[in-house]
Amino acid sequence: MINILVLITILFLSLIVYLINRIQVDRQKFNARIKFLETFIVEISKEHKSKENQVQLSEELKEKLVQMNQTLSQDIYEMNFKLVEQLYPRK
Amino acid sequence: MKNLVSSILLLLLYSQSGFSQDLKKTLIKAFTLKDSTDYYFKAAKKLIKSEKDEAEYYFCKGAWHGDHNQLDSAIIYNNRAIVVFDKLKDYNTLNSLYFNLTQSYRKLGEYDKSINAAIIGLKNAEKMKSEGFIFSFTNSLSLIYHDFENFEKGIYYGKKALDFARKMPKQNAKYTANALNSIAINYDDSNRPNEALYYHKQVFNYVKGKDTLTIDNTYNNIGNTLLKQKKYKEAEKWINIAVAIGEINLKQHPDRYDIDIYSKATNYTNLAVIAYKTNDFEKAEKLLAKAKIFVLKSKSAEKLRDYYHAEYEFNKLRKNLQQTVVSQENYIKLRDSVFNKNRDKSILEIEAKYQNEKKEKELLKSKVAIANKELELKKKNTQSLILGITIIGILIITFLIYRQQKLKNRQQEQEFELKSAIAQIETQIKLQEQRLQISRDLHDNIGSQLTFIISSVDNIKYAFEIENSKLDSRLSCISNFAKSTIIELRDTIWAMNNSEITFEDLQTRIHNFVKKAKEAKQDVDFNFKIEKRLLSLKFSSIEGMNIYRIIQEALNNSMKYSEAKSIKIGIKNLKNAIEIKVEDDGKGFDSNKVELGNGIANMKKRIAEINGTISIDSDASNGTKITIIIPHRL
Repeated sequence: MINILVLITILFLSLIVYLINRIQVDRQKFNARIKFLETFIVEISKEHKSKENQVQLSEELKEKLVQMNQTLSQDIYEMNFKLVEQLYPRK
Repeated sequence: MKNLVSSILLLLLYSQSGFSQDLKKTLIKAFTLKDSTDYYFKAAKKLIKSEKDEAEYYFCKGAWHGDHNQLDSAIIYNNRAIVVFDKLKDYNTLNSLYFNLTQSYRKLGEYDKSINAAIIGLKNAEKMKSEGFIFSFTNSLSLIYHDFENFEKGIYYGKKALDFARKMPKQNAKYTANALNSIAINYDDSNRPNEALYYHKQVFNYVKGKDTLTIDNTYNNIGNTLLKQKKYKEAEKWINIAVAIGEINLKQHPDRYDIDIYSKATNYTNLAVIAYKTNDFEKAEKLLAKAKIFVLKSKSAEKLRDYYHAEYEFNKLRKNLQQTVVSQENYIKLRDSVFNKNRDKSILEIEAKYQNEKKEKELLKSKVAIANKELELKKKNTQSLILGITIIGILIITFLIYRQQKLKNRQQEQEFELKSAIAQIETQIKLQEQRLQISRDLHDNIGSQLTFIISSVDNIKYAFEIENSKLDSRLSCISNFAKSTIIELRDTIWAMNNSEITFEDLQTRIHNFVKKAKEAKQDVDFNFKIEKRLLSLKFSSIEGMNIYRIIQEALNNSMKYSEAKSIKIGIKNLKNAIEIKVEDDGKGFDSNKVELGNGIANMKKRIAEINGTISIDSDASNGTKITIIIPHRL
């Protein structure tokens, strides 16, 4: 009976230790995986941020180009006006 | 009883193995062929080859002498057989031997030895758990104590035998009748005739029909009790039935010695007593003479005692003094030989020893029972402990498995969330890349279109020799505007193509800008200084572009409005920040009076975007100083 008791106790303890160890190993594996994913996210976020900056710069440039377009159109119009004035002076 | 012994013997002879077959056959012949008994016993003796053979020989010899009422010889051979069987540890045969010995001693009136043999036999039978012998020895003790006139003990053992017989699964009717008879005769001789008759008559509940032929002694005993109650006629009737049964039995079993001797000895003694009690002295005398023959043959002390007592009373009634004295002397002599003090003491000692041993045995039994109970309790405790540990173990394991599963689910959720976030970011990055690709294509087109505009305008100017100054100025304006737009476009594309911008990159860019500015304003002295340790400091493209545009705007303002001779650009590291200073020695302005243009507003907006601060310090005589503070990044 005592032997059975000892055997059962050892069996359960072994099982418990095995399960705790498995949980620990799983946790470590998960942490390693998560760390990798987090690093990857950090890297990808950096890239994302960089792309965002580029897009922002592009947007700014676009605005500038719109302004430039207006200014240039105005200048060309005025130049054309002057040319027409010179070619066909008012009577 | 004799019948029982003979049956046991024959059974033993047929069943025993391990001893010579020739010896076995010879011993059977010695038993069955009465005329040649001595011859076959002598022949058997010659065939003895082993201890076992010797034991069997003594056993048969003892049984034979016992059957033929040669009690002294029976005792000698039985004792010899006991020694050998004890050595051989054949306890079943020992039971038979002790029983034979008990009977022989009892008949001889050696009650102490008889009780001793019965007690040893009883212990042996209890050890072997032999129910038949346990009953027989207990019942024998009742009968021995009866003969020894210790009726209380006789009743005690009789009742014990009765209890045992009632609990026996087989043959309990026969055993019960024997036990009832033993109790009854004890009550009878202790002058309690009513109890005696009660037990005697109970026998008929167990023995019925033809079987009543086996209880002639009961009929005789009832008669004896009635005789003591002075119911002579009734007593005579019962005893006569016993005599008749004896006659029938004798006809059926002429070889049964006990029917012939013991029953007749008792019956005739009792009938003689009835005769002289009813004053029929002639009949009494004849009956006494008949009884004497059988009593002497029986060699039974009990029968002899009863006979002498009857003879004494008869002679006394007949007033035959001489004969009375002789009978009385015989009676007293016998009683003295049987009931002497030493024997009484010895019996008490034997009994006490047996009872002590029994008590010790019971004590040991109870100790064993207690130990067993303790063991059982211990076993139960251990079982409970095992159960407890098992339950706790299962609970812990269940909890651990549940926890692991929960953890796994949570981990999977977290992983899924992270992967989703990554997928989302990747999608966004892809979208941004697509947008940037489109932007790049657009910028390339715009760049080439602007270059085309510039070259077209320059070609027009040189090819057509334009005299109209306004037109010429307009063309120059278009050309310059296109050129500055291209520069701005290139700057932006440069920033877009670099994910990170260092101060070193900015330094090169600012140097280029200053170089071009020098071409436009040759009389202005430009001074650009940056701390070496800041050269490697990295900014995002937006931050870098904002810093560059702020410096560019500040330089443009100085060149445009201050008429300065010297413009200084200094970048240095502070404790927690970076300081960028653009200062000139030209005309300053009063910020309260002068309306600030889009340039300054743009500068403030850009500074705010990079979490920095800007301060403009302008004085009409001391020029303008623009200080920009950017939070530390080192």
